[in-house]
Amino acid sequence: MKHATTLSALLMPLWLTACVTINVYFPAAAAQQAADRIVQEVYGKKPGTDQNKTPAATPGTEPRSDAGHPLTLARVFVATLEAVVPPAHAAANLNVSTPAIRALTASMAKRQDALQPYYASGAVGMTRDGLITVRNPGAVALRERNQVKQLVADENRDRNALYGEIAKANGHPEWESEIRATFARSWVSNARDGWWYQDGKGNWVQKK
Amino acid sequence: MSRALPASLFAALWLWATAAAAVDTVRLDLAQVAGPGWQAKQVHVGMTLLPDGGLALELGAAEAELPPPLGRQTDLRLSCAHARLDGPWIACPAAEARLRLPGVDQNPLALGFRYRPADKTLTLNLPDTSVAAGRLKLSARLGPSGWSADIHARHLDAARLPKVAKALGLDPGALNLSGRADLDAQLSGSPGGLRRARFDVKLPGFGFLVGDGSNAAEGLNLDVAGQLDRAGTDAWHLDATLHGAAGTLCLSDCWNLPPKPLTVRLTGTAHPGAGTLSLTQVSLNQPDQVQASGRLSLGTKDGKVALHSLHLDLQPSRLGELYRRYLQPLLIGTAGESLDADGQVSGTLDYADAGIQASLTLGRANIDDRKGRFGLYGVGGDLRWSSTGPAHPARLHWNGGHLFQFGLGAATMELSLSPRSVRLSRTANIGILDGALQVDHFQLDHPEDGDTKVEFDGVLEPVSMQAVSHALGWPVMSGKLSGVIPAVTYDHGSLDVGGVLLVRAFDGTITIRGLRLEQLFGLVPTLAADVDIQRLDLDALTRTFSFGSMQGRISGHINGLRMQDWKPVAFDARLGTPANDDSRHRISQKAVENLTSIGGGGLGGALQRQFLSFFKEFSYDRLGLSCHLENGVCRMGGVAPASQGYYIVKGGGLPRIDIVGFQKQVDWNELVARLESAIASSPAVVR
Repeated sequence: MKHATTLSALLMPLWLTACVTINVYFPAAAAQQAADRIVQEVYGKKPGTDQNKTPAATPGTEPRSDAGHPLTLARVFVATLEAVVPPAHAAANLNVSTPAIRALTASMAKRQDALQPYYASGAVGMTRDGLITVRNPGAVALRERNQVKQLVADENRDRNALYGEIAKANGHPEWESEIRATFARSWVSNARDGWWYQDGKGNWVQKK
Repeated sequence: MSRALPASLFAALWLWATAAAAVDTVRLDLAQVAGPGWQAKQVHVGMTLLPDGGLALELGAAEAELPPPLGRQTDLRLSCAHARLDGPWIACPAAEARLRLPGVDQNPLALGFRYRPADKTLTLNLPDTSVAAGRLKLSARLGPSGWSADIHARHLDAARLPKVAKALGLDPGALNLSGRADLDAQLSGSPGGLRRARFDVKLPGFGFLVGDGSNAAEGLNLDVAGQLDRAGTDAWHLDATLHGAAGTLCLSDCWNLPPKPLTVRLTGTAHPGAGTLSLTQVSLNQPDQVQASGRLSLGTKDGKVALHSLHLDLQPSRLGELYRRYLQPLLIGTAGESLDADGQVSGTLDYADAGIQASLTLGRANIDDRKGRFGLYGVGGDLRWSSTGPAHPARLHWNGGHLFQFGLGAATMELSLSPRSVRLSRTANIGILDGALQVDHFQLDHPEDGDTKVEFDGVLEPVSMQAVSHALGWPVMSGKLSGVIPAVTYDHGSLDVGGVLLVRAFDGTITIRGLRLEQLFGLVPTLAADVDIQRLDLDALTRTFSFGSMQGRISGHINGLRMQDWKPVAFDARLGTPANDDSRHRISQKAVENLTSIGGGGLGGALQRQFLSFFKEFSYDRLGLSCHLENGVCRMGGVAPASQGYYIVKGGGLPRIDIVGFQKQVDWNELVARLESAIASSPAVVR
């Protein structure tokens, strides 16, 4: 971490002249990979299968072009950091293997079978802040509604804990919102066709 | 253009036909006939004189506009094979009508009627008619001043009833029903509409669904009986008793009705036009479980039902049933979502525009979190709270409980409840394990637009480490844990404990600062702290953990400690012989073997082993270990660098021994396994 800080300090003038506004430290690529791995484990997919077609409108963000975007720069510099500093000590690596993260992932994976029919029926949808919600209670049989409400509450509790825990486990509690946004994209991009999600404006969209 | 009254016309025709016996058949055609509230076009009236003096009648209209619920009809026909005079009545006990009636499956209909021309009164009798997939018996009486109807219906298909209601002038909106209905009703009204209804509706396996389905029910066994009276132009007085059992009712939140019926009584006035309902008496009775009564007033705001005012008295009821059946669905997503509760509860609730007042009395209540996080037993007390008014004193006591693995003793809390805060008004003593937490000051503030804040000032009176280690499943330690806690803050599920906790153990001190409990009610609670260790007696320590005897003192720190499931996941620790330590520095052969195995070797070869086995005990100058744990890997160090490694023990005196560690990175789980096997005093591995 210290190396990364020093390096970033050295790189600071460069950032300023490049008018970069995004947080230098957040390892976007590593986070996306880590998020995909966890999400696929929860969804019950083997990592590497169904390498994701990112939907046209990812939740919480506007579609971004690659050329000249700050994020691209960030990726370049992250890559540079990785080249200079062994990955194990660089900020670009993300620790996602604390007992809490493993327990939360396992808990969500265990819940997935119960949630899946409600994703498929559109009763439950993915929100743009990386959570889920009952978007159409009418699609749930009455005797199952409290159970669905409980599933959604439990899942959201796990997800909120997961985002916070990843940020804290990596010594950057302030990363939580970026990790949340990363996961929000990942939940949608790894979801099955037909499931519902909220686009950046909060409208419900069915994944095709 | 004729605007004659049909009754007098009909009577005239009858007299004419019976008087002029030569005429067998009379037929009259009229282009249009009308009366107050109705009109008919292309009307024909025909009658044939029968040999016994009776008449065969036929009345028809190509088109008619009749008062509700008959409405617009085409090809209307009423025929009576045998009508006769019965005193002032013209009677036809067996007639046939071709007309469309809401919900009636049968056309033409068999019916009987009697008509009294003098006061234009008609009585109508439907003997057994197929209606809404069930059977209906109806007798009705229509006169110039009003009407009445007696209805007995069995096995109606509830799904078809909203349409019938709509045709009867009661707009049910986007309502779907399911199940069967038995109905007994007596209705009466004026030509303008309904005035009074007495009803008894039995709905076995009843369900409903409104709009998007947020409000719905299924599988209810309902019996609703009561009376509805028109009390003004837009006022209906309602008095009804409802028995309900089984099934599920959802009004945004969902409840399962008990298998044995609960009774709800409603008395009040509805103003459908204004969209308000005022119930002056509401009661709910679930026998032997829950009793409540009160009053409420509902209105509509932006097209939605809104509560205007409510007064509720909860009579002594069973907390278990109240929680399980009524409250739990409202608590999903909170720490109170999975409780086992029993005991007695009563209270009141008042809601009005001015604010909310509530009171609650608990008696012999037990509350236990099913996830094992907390529990309070033998809870009793009186709580009163007002959203606007002054602070109310409150009292809460319990006989025992637990917070995670830590047992709590009896305690009494004298509280003061203000609109947005709870304050302890007298020092409270809460037993924890074999010690106690003395709470001098406690205040919880929940500002309307901010995070909940907790102020706390207390003293942890000595708890034995024996009890703590037992609770945490650790090896049994001696010593005492105590502390002064000047502040505790709670934010987003995380508890920050200010001040210093002090453990007096092993003849030294361990101080814990910056204690923080994250995800307190989450899946895996996390504990974070900075720990400072001063001059622990190694002899006592190693005996406790059967590590192999060592003598001397040890000091150090464990900074940035994070524990999940009571197991460390990160820290920066350094433990070693304190500077200027003049205690006796000895280390046993077994301890040497164990230390060697932890450091990943340092002794090797047969020579060292023989040397080792020659002495029971060695002398050292300094010993120490450091570990920076991160990501499951411990980066290790010792008291001083050695070539290719670090000294874990730096010898001094005789017999002298040096232990050098070579592994700089150790898998934490492996290290723990090694330690555990060392503690289990299995023969040490000397490599």
